[in-house]
Amino acid sequence: MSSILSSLLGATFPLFGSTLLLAVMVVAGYTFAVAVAAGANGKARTLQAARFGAYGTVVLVGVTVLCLAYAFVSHDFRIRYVAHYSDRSMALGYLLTALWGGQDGSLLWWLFLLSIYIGLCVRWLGKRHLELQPYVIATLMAVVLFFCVLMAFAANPFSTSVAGARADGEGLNPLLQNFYMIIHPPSLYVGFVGCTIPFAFAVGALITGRLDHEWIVASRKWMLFAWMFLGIGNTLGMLWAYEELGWGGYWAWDPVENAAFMPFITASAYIHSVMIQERRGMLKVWNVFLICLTFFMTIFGTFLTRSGAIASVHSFAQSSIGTYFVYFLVLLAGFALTLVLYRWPELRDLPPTARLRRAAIVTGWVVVLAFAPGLVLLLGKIAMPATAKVGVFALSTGLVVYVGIEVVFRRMTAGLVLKSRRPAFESVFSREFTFMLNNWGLLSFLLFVLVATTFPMITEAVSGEKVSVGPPYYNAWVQPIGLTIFSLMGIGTLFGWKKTSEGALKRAFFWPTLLLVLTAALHFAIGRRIGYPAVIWSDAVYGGALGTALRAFNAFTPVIGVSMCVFNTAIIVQEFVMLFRSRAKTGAGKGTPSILWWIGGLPGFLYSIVTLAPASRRRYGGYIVHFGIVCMFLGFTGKSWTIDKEATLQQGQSVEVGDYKLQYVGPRMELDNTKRMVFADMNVLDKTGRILGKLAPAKFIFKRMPESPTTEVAMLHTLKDDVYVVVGTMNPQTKTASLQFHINPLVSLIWLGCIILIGGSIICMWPQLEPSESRVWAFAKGGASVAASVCLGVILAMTPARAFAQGTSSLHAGTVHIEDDRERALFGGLRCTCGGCARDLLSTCACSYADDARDLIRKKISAGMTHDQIIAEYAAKWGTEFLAVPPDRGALRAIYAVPLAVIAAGAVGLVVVVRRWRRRGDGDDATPGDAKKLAGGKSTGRDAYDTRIDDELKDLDG
Amino acid sequence: MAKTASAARTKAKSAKVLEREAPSPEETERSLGRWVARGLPIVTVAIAFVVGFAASLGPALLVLAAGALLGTISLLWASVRTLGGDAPLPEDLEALAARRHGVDGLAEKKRRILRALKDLEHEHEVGKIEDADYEEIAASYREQAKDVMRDMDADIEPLRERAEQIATQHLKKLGLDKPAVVDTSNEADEEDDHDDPVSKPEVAPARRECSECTTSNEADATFCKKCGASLVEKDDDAT
Repeated sequence: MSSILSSLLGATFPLFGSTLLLAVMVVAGYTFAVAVAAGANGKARTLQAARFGAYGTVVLVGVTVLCLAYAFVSHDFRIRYVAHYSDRSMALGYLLTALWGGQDGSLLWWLFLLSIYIGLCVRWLGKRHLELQPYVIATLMAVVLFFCVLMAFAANPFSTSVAGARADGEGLNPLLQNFYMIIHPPSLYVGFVGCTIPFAFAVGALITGRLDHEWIVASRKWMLFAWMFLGIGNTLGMLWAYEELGWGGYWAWDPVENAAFMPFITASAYIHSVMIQERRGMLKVWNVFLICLTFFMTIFGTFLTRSGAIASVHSFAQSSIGTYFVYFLVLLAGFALTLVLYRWPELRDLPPTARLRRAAIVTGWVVVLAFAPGLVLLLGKIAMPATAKVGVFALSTGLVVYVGIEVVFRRMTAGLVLKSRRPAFESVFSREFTFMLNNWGLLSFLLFVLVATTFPMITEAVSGEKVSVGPPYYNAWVQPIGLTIFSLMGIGTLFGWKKTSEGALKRAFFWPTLLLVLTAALHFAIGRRIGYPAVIWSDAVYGGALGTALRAFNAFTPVIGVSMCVFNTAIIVQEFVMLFRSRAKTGAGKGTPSILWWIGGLPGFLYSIVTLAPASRRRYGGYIVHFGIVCMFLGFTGKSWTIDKEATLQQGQSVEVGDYKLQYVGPRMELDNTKRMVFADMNVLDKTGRILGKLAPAKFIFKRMPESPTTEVAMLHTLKDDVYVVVGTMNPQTKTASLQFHINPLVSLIWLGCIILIGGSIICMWPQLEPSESRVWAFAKGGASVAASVCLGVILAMTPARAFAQGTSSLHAGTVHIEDDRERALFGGLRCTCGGCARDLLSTCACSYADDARDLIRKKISAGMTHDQIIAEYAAKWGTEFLAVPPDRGALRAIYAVPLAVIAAGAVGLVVVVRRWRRRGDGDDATPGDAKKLAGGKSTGRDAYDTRIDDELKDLDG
Repeated sequence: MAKTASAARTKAKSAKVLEREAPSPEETERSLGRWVARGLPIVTVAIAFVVGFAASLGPALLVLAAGALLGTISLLWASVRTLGGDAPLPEDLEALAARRHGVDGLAEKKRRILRALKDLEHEHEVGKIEDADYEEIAASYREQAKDVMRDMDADIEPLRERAEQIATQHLKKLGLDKPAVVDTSNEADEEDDHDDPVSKPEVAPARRECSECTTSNEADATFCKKCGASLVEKDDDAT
């Protein structure tokens, strides 16, 4: 049958594939047009046609993916992509996962996931949101169109190689240099792609002007789902780096990791701020901005990965699709901006007159274009010192912005009443305010990461100076910011909506604060004795006062982190205690079958939470998510107590690392079809000599690449710490092995935290129970639907892990030899100069260049040179781009100065805005000011409306 | 491939048979659509399984692709026919679309205020806000809610009158003008209580009283939540 098929399909199969891509483009274009028409004429008939068109597009994308799958299965090596990522010897499972292994295929995979989302979304929309639907479909189709154009013209997975079919493909090289690029993006795609749906809802709301709570309710669940998968994807990425890369860490602040992390931050901010809009009708612009920013970040992240604009261990080869992404980003930003400006009056609750719209659009664009002359100056080839350039840029931009707002806007809106009647804040001691603080914190974090990630690109354009920003920089700065957000997370939950009474606030703060202080004291007292010191000093990233300050803060990170975790946990426990106490008082807890409590508490607890009214359920689900984040933070704090050690052992010898004793049993060799495996068998013993487990770190020598064996990590996981062993070299004659040991405390808590986070998100997304259904049925249905969707997502996200479990650790084929902490600090601050390994540090890069560089530096250390001298010399020899932390001088200071300035400006802005809202509150007629009067007259004022309000409150979902 | 093609042919045949038998062409087309939507994936997957076991995965993938392609074609055909006005729409879509409405500022405001009251209630229950503060803020929100509700009532007053008129006329024609007043007030609220299923609980409180046990039910309830008696017929009589 196969031969008949191949003769039938014959020479044109690749062409057929390409044609399918073009067909998707045409169909998506058709659907787009019909959807827009449906929006314009408002006819149900046109909308229905658009819905059919959307389904058609979705299925057609499926056809395309199936065809590519067929090409892989039938070894159609005429297709370049197939030849590049598979060979005849590959097992079926690997063949299919190669579908998204490379760039072209991963774009198709992205499109495929997007179309699954679209199918589900259109189905879910059904007869709801009829007004928004056309534009939601149109927006989604526009995104599909973009990906089609991208594939058809720049990264066609069906393109054939000029040389014709090969006899065999290249296969998935076990030592593929950029193997990371294969495993990381797909696990995040589910989250990335999911952000498109809320964006489509936002665009729909903006176009139709239906900016009330409707679109928020519609998009909330989709956003939560995407958010959860961004979380899962990021954690999986960490897990992968940790399990496979063999350097003992999990997060390297690589540009691509950052790109995946940034949408997660904006999505988190959105999930919080949206609650204010739901309750107050405020922050409409902000929420639209956050949704657009999240979507923007997903595209920007893809751009970062694919364009090769920033050196990264993940980066794809420089390819032309970067340009397409830039155009798409610009188009997207311009479109979203114009739309927001057009709806400015509605968003700000102003009278929607044509004049005001015009004024908003003109002013907005004047402000945006104000950056143009400055940018030309900055990026152009004008000979001018960088500092002067930045100064002129700031001046010119500021001037035009001022002119834009003052002159243009004032003049165009002269005579219009711009006083918007918007609700006000009762109190600063309210959840509303803490949510705004949280948004400020998260966005500050985003800004910091964003600036640092793009900094190499910017400096190269502005001053031609090449720099790189490595983990030491992030580690130094992120700790203060992260801990600030972390503490805000806890403090925020202590406040209630509207207003928190002073007494209640004091009560709420009492226990957590007490525990915080006690933990800190206890930590100082016994921390060092039990191996978890409260204060750990490391080297400063900068000289001078700034470096000292950062170093001082970061030294205290362990104690702050641990006590903050206790503080936050106490707060969460307290919240639940308060909930259950109030439920006991009102008798609402009776609904939980007591059998569930008897069989271990947790089922009863979960049942009670899930059966809460939706708004409360989301709230307490959110607290569970917070608890997951607390666990993760504790895991991150554990990093401070890592113990690294190297040893060369004879057979039977043992070494003590931390609380463990590791005994080298001896080498062992195994063979299979593709490789030779050399294991170093180890016993892990505790201090008393009891065997805790056996480890077998290994070297795999693939037939294909005998000269560069891969390193396989072996680990013993416990909740307390992980024993992480990497084998460096093994001598088969003498049976000696050089090994590296890492004791990584509390790492397991990160993965545990992620699981709790998933659980909390599921509780938030739990479908609403319908009163008409029987309870058990509703429960089963809700559980099944959520579980099924989550499982599907997890499987999708996990599949690449299985696919590439074979060729692991390829980046680190060799081993790094580090003798002491001084060397570690030094190597951690310098980049390898080989050029092949992109961005690796001397402390992790295993290539021969790095080995030579390390030897050289070792000689210099023994010659008596200081840390700073060596770094200065290295920079002078190779250039600043080989320092992991950009030097603290001149215009390069912008990397932290700009974010800090914006963060400070954000804080000032926050204060100003809140003051204004408070003032408006005082000036308004129905606010606490005269509420006393009203409260006084309440007894007489009770009327028929009160009964109606009571009735409706009872029906409201709590 | 050949098998799918023949399957499609038989499908077309059976569709023709259906067309001859069924009385209404619209209903026929709808059922045809349903048949294709359910049958095509099942048939395709079944054939793919058979082919997969008989031959190998490659041809099975092609069968799936062929089935999906057929699906695309039928979906696009449906789309074009719908656009051209030849195909019938789902029963209630047109009706729903005709009842679309703009953003109701007042209803939105009321929803927010009620939300605020509910939040306050919750915070009070879990002890985040003390009695005095609670009373004070809740009272102010209640006052705002009343204002909004008064405005809303004033807005729908003319509509209510018109509805009452229509209903009285209608009932007169039927010769039942006595209970008109009770029913028409419901009717008037119904007009205001738009169809949007999401914002349902927030808009005007059109409650429906059960004729059997006088329990107050949601406006869109079809059956009484207490005794299970049907609430619909009464409504049908009224209109």
